[in-house]
Amino acid sequence: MTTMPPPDDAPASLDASLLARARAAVADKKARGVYTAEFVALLDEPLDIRPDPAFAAGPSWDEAVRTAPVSPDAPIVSTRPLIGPVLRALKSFVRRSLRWYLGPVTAQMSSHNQAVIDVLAEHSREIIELRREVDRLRRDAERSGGAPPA
Amino acid sequence: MTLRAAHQALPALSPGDGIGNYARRLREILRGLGLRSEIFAGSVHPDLRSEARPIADMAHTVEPDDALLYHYAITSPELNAVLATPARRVLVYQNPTPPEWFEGVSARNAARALGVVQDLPRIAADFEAAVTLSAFSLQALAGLSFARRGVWPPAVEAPKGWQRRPEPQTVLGVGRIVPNKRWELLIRAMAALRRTHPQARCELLGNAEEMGPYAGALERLAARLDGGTVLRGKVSDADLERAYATCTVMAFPSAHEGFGVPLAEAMVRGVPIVASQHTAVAEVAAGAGVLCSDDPLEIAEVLAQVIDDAALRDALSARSLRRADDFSPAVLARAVRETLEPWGLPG
Repeated sequence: MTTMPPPDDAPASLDASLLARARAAVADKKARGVYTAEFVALLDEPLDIRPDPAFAAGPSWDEAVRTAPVSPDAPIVSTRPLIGPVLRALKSFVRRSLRWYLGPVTAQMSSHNQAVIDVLAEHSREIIELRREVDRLRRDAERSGGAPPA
Repeated sequence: MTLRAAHQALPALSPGDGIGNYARRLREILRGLGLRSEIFAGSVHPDLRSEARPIADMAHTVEPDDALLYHYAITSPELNAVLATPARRVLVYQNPTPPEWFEGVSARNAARALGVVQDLPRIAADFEAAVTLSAFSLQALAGLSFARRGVWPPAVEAPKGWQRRPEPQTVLGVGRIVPNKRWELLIRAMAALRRTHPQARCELLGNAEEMGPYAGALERLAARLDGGTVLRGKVSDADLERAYATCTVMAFPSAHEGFGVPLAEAMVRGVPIVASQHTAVAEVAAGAGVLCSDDPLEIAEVLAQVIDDAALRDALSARSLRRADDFSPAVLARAVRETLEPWGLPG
């Protein structure tokens, strides 16, 4: 079996001294106030990940997002032999004739769908955050020797 | 009976994709061994149509005495097509990111990663051999029933005539924008570095597709900390080369890698590396990069030393180039030959 051999020892000693210098420099900068307690606390803040709603909303989430916008210009198709082109022309004519009506209606539907998606997304994120909080509390309870919440 | 062909199958072939690049290099190596070798892919990017054939062609191309290498990183229907062939099958286990890293970030990626974890023990019996890109990744196959195993490290080369022209205080991060890469450590380290090096800046190059929640969190963190870090997203090959050429140092704080190709790309270009100590990173970067803890302040100090000390930069650059020799086409060819030889190679 081929493996990648570890290199010689020289880099290890160089790295050890380099890392030792780095740690000393960190301590020094903390002592001199280059890294204040506030700054260190700021670096320690957890990453603010706003979760993917699909984790709580389930596998249909992507489809819901995909189909939220309603277009008045969906492709016109007809695969019927011979009369297919006639049907397509007819549909196209009807759609053009109703554009004054379909345009505002589909725009209103899209706007409403998007609002519903936004609400669901927010609720899903809330659910994910609450699940995380429950997990954290359960771990804390186990660590402190208490019975985990049911 | 001598092996005459060793083909490869993978779910998708796209430009700039690590697995696709690896497969294409592997094909050169296999052909160099005197074997016929084609790549079959479930989907092929239009720019790469000449590089791969549809997966449906595999059924009438692959013969019982051929080897068929399957690149396994996600659950995909191409696996069924591979299992339907009569060939001697080799699993190229790409050691995907464990599902827990996608928690809250991408339900789709979490499901795919979980699928690999669950399917691997079930499909192992269908493959005679398994290879990984690092010794670390090989550990994931412990206890599974492969008759033969090997490590096939990727072969990476710099473009011909390539030259470094580093700009001062420029830190580079290269890799997908996924949580296991822990780019937040680099952003925090940059904020600390800029306390003493206000001119320091960092470019983060990587595809954030399907990782919106994580990428958004990184953007907000970079803005809040004013760490001089810019997320550039997926860039062209030319822009990637420019970034490797002009950076002072590359930082790679990843917590999980099956290999970590950007490390080898940086090495072959003589870029000094500051990396984490985790998983395959420690193995691949060993001897080349400085391996730091996960403390952003420590990372910042090491970056500061590399930025300030020309002799250290030169030493790390030389170490990178030396280590890059372990990721050459010759090394990969040797590993491939070692694994396939028992089946009989031509000549």
